[in-house]
Amino acid sequence: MRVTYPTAIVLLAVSRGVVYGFDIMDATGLQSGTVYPILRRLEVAGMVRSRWEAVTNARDEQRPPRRYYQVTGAGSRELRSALDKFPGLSATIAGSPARA
Amino acid sequence: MRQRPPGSSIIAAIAHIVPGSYRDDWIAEWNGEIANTWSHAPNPDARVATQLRLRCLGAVVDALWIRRHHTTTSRRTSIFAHDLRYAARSLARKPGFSAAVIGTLALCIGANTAIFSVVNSVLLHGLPYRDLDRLVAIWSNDTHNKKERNWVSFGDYRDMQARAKTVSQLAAYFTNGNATYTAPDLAERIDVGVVSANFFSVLGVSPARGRTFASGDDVLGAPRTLILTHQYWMRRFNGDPSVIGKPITLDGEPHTVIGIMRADFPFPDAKVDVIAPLPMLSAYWTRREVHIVFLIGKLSNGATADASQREFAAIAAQLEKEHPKENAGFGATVLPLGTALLGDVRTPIVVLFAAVCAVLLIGCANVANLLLVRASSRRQGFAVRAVLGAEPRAIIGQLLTESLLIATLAGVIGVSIAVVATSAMARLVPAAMARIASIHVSGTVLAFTLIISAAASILCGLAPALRGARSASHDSLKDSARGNRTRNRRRLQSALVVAELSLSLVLAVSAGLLINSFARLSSKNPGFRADHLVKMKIALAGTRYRTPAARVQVYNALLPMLQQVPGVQSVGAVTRFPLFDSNITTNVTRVGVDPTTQRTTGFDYRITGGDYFSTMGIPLLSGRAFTGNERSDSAATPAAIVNKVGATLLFGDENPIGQKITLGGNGPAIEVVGVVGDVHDASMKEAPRPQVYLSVQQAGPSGITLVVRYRGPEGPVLSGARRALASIDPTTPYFAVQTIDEIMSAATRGERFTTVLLTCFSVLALLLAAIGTYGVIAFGVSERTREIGIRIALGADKAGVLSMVLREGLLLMAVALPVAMLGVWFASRGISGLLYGVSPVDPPTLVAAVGTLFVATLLACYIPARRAASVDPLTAIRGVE
Repeated sequence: MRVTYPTAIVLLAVSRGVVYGFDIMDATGLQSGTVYPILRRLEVAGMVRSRWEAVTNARDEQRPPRRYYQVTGAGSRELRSALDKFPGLSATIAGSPARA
Repeated sequence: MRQRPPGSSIIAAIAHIVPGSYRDDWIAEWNGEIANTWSHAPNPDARVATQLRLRCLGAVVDALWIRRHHTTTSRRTSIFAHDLRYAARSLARKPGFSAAVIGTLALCIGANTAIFSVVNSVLLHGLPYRDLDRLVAIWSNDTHNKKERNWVSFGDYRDMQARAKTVSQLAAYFTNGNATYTAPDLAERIDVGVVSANFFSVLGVSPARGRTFASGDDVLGAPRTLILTHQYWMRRFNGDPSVIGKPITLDGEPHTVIGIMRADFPFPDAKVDVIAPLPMLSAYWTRREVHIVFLIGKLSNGATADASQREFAAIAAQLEKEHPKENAGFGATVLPLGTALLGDVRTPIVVLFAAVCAVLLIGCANVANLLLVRASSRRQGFAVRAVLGAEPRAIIGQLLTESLLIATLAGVIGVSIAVVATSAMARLVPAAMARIASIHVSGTVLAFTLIISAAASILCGLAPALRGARSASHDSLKDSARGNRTRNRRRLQSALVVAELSLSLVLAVSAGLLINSFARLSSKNPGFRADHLVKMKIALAGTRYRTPAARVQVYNALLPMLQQVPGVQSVGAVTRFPLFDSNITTNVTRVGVDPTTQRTTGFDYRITGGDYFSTMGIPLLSGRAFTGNERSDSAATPAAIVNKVGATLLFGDENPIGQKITLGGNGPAIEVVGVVGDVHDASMKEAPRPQVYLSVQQAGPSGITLVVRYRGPEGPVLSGARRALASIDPTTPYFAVQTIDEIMSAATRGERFTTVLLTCFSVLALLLAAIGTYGVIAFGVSERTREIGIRIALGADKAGVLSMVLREGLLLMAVALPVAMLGVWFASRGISGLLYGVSPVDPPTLVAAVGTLFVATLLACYIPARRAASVDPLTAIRGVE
């Protein structure tokens, strides 16, 4: 899979703890029509995996459970290549306190 | 309590795009994000709601990605392949049903393709002239005889060429030339088109080999050159390219072949063998009273056909003032060339194409009805599939694949039908269409077949597919829903039958009007006795026949010899045979009458010999016929005979016998010695025009048509005539030999072509509509067997049941009638230009067509009605058929 700049941004965001879809949009500034297809492609390529958060978390907040994403080993390797390829990439994402 | 998060309904709507097995998770993921955002928003107001909704709109992209990824091309192909195999097995299990639907569609598609081959060849690609929309046809408009399309004289052509500004180039052409081609052991009469040197550059066509005429080739004294048509080059010279640059002998003179035209080049208005430059008609160059050529102009930059019409009308008015004797009453008509050349054939082709499209619609309605019935019988199967997880769109896909397979098979068979029908039609088309292009099935026509097959598959399959999908619900397994389904299906089927009956009635009325019109045209008296006549042309050319006296000598020897041939009753001759040859006109004025009080009138100009009028059966109304003693020297008073229309035009109520006239405005005075009956000359539809006849003794034409009235078989007469001519001049052949039956048949060939085809389509449409009606009524009877059984058990008699079923069928026809009347109104106006002697609103034709449809509908309903009347009530109530 070819890692484009938006794909690299999304991968970086997930690696820095921005794990939920809407939070990734807020952190990267990308639109939903961009972020979600990237997440799907990354998951198909094996660079991220997705999970549902613990039901108890959602129940406590009286809302439906959310799906979160994590970077895999393959994704980490691709991310390192992307950081070399796109020098300014690292400064684009600050990280997020949201954890699954 | 917080309201439902904004955007949830958007997600719910978009979720339909996601494949079913991924949908629930996808909705949950998006709803999770929306709910979290909304619940954590410090101030969940309209602005936040709008932002959320905008984010949800992006879910479309996500949904489409998931759908595309999880329904890959290979998976789609495998679904299609599976549906195709299933459809093939399904059709093979019901061979009778399959043959009926495929056969019906194949017939309709084949007919459509055949007619489209005519549309494509003649209308869409018929005139391969460059910049056709910038070319105009120019005629002189004979206002006295109300004839818009008349030839132009050479003098007028030169003047128009010099004065016209709206055309940058003006070319002239003549369509009725002929010459004798002689070679060792061969003397053949061939058709010659005569053109100005700029003719080909105006049309924007180039030769396949060699060159066309250059600017000096059409001046007097230029070396004689010739261009061969592709067809004549192949026929006479076997396609030998070395013929270019070689001389061939026409009328005893060598002509150098300079070029060969392309196979698809159509000479305007005529089929010719060779094309020669204008000097071939030099005898007419200075005779302004002889109208002989057509003109084609190339519009100047910025000029329009309307502006050109105004300019040429003004030029014609100037020429009328400058040459009052020759040009009195002649204006100008300018039309776009495409309209001028295709106008006579466009309407019948469009009418036939509309008719055959109506037949296709009827065929599709029939097939749709059959597929509806079949889908209805399979509804339980669809419902079970739905229970097992099949989505409605899968059922729609399967049924549409089935109708696609049917339409494809029908299209393949239809192409075969079309190839046969097209080659048959190519032999039967009117000369006007055949001149424009050769009719054949081409790549474009095959693409058309593909398109209408695809359209037919959708038309036929959509309704049954949608109904099948609706059956794919749990409810369809319940009997309670059955009543509604049956009613809805019957309504749809009835609507289709009503549409079929309406269309077939429109076609029946149109065909009836054309049949009526053709019958009137065929039975019309042409003005002569159209039986036991044969004609043949001879042309006396070459140095031996340079003088009129030499030619008259041949005619004086030949005509008595022909009279002696066994079987011959009488013999005559004429320069232009009625309903066959094109026209030459000349102005005729009275002598001794103040020229300012009379108008000069264009007459058809004919030269006759022998007993022409008695041979043709044209009655002599007053005076006498030519005696054969008229001489062309100045000592003899020239004599003329006019027809009744001409006599009335010139002399009104006065006795024309003994009156003097001049021809062409400046000739010697000629005495009118006889008046003969009127003859239909140009066509059977046009009223007879004024005609003037001179004797062959006075004129000595270079070519003449011999007319022979005979008894018994014509074979020995023709052999005897050939021997008679050969004994006088073995190098001069006969040509254009035809019986009067062939001429009369050719005279109405165009009308016959349209009438026969439209009648065939109408009969086919009626048959299909009757079959469709039968199918719907029969299926209705089979579904209501139990109800009918109960009725009979409760006392209904068989006659009552019979009339109940017949009434249902006739009710469909009654509903179709008002719909059809609207179609009849439009259709009859569309074909009004093709009618002769019949009004587009002809009550007897309408009554006959409605009566025919009534009988057909009655017959179609009778069999199922009888079946219903003979239902055994006990068997029916038990539910066993």
